[in-house]
Amino acid sequence: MVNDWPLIATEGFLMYPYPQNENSTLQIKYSKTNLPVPIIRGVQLHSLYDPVKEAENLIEVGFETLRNKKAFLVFGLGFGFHVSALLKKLQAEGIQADILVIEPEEEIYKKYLDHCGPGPFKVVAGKSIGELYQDQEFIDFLCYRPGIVKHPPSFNLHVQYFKGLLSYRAKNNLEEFRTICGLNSETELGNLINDFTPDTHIFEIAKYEIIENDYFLIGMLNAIGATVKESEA
Amino acid sequence: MKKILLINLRRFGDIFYSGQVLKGLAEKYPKAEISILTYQESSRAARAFAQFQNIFTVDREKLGILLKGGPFSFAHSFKELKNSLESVGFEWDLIVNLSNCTVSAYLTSYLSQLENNYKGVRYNANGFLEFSDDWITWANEIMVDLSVTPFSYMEVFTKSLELNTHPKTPVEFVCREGHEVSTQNIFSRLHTFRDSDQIHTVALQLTASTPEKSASLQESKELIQQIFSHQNLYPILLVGPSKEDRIFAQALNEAFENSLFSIEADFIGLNSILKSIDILITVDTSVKHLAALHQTKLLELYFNQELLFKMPATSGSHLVLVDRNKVGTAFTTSAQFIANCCWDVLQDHDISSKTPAGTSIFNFDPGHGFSLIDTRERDVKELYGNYVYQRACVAFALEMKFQTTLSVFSKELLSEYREILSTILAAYREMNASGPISAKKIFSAINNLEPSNYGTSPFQVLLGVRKTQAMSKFCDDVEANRKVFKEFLLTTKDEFLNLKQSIVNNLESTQRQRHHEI
Repeated sequence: MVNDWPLIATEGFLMYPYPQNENSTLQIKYSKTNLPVPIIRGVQLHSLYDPVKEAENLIEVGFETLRNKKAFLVFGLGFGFHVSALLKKLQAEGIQADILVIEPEEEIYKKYLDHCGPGPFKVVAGKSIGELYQDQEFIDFLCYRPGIVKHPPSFNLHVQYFKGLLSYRAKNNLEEFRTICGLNSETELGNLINDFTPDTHIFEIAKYEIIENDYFLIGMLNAIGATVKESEA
Repeated sequence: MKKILLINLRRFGDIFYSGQVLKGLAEKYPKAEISILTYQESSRAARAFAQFQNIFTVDREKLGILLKGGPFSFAHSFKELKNSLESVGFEWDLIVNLSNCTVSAYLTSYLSQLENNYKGVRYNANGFLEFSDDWITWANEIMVDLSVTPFSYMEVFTKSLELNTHPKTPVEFVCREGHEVSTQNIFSRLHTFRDSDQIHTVALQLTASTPEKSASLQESKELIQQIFSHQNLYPILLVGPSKEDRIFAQALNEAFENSLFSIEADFIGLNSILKSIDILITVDTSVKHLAALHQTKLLELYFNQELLFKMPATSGSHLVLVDRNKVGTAFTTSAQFIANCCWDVLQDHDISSKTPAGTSIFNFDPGHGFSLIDTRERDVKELYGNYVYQRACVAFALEMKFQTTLSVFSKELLSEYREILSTILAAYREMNASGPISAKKIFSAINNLEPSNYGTSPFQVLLGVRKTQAMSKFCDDVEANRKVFKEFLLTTKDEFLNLKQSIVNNLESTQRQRHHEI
């Protein structure tokens, strides 16, 4: 069995073999430049020849259109060679930007941490599309209008996931409202919307003016929306 | 009064413009903590003040993105807004809504929780706009439709809040040591260019947000040339931190073989500069309002008479109105006049030069409004006459102050009194009739009340104000609305009687006086 535990992890002073998930479809191979390359369900996520060079080429090709961005949303982590290449490029150009990586497979992220350690960027791994759009940090990040960097092997491996992420549309019903706003029945607003079915559209309850003082917030938001449209026009 | 919140969701100039209210409030309530709530994009202006206890912001840009829908739920924007306002809280003794816009009206309702601790406009529980007092009602519902602005917004708020028109309490500004040192360096270098102590620095801010507010490149060149030519004046160009301003300044400087002093500064840097200059000649920009708070001497330059009375500098200033259609290519004469006025203002002298064709000069005092000093233009005289008449009408209607300006119109006013009173009495008879009433009937009676030239006489002003206030009390109950409407008609009738009596008294005293003279 010991031979099945190829990785060694440390905890305190005790060394013990890192247990490999027997059902795991993730394998690690090493490139000619001696860098770890993940292979998941037979799909190799980076070049086995020179993953760094490959990542630098990927970033170089698509960078011009993203030059003015102050935030980057990266689709797929792999083992992060393309993220490091992006960081290197930004540094060389003197651009300060935030990076958020979306990785659908949590196992890849764990293995990445084991092999490479945490990088100077944020990673959200293993979350469903619905969970992502309920995550405040993700929403805040999207408000920076980030440039999107696709890691082609990861994107192709999870094409439905990433396409779903890009085409997601909010439902605007009470269930979603309750979840995003973290309302429970003890709050005034949570209690007030209890009488409606979860799929009721949020504007349906707004027109009943039953959410008391919070109604003014809805009025305010509609007015802000109008001023933004006006200033854009 | 312990905690006061100013809400101002407008641009930089408006934030500085509201500094007058800040001064007045600081004087009236010396122990109060005053905070401001503004959009994040305008908070740079608020940060120039050292006096705000807190600067709260709402990120409109972020909300705008979230409100576009698509992947973003309405709940995201709701949560974002609610979180932004959490730090603001509800514990305010006074909330002053200086913005008069829909967003700020909702915001005022939300933060005041419909308690009676606000000034300005907000929504009531029935979703109708409600106004804190007569002045605010007039400014929001009647003034907006007038061709001239008899009282500027800050005058309205000064009256609404019952503040001193000339507050002595200074506004405290943020000044950075670096800015102070570099300003001193610039001005000490400038002093070496001076031949005598009789030379004064004239800062010029000649670009604004729109071409109709800005001086053209040619006009700017001619004005600077005239200041250079004046033996006691030396021009300095102020440059805003924008690409357009820099290009304009560069073009001007090239025209003067790079001999112009130009200073580029942000708002905090401007605080240091405005303290060091002798006078500012400015078009209608945010800088002028900041300068007014520094008590810098001001000469305002206008090219559009429609904008003249709207937002004068709150410290008081001289204003030159140039009609481009009449001045044409002969701006040199106007520029020479402006340079001479500049010298008179610096010396605290009356304006001695005669206005050239197409050029008029006014004075603004926050207590007395505008005075026309000199013009040869008939349309400007008419415009000013209209301003004075409108101002007298509003002051009479809202403060019962009968001004002699109105004396000559006494007969017309009394005739209008009878005409409007008859419509009020007709409406009252209709509302008082027995039997059921419908909402349609009430609104028809309201519409019949409206005079043709709405808001151009004291009676029309008062009727408009009271009608707006009554309508904001309407609800879903038609009978309750009838009661509100009847009360409004009766109150207004009594107030009309008081106004009429003042006019009659004045008329009689004038006639007695004439009789004695005879």
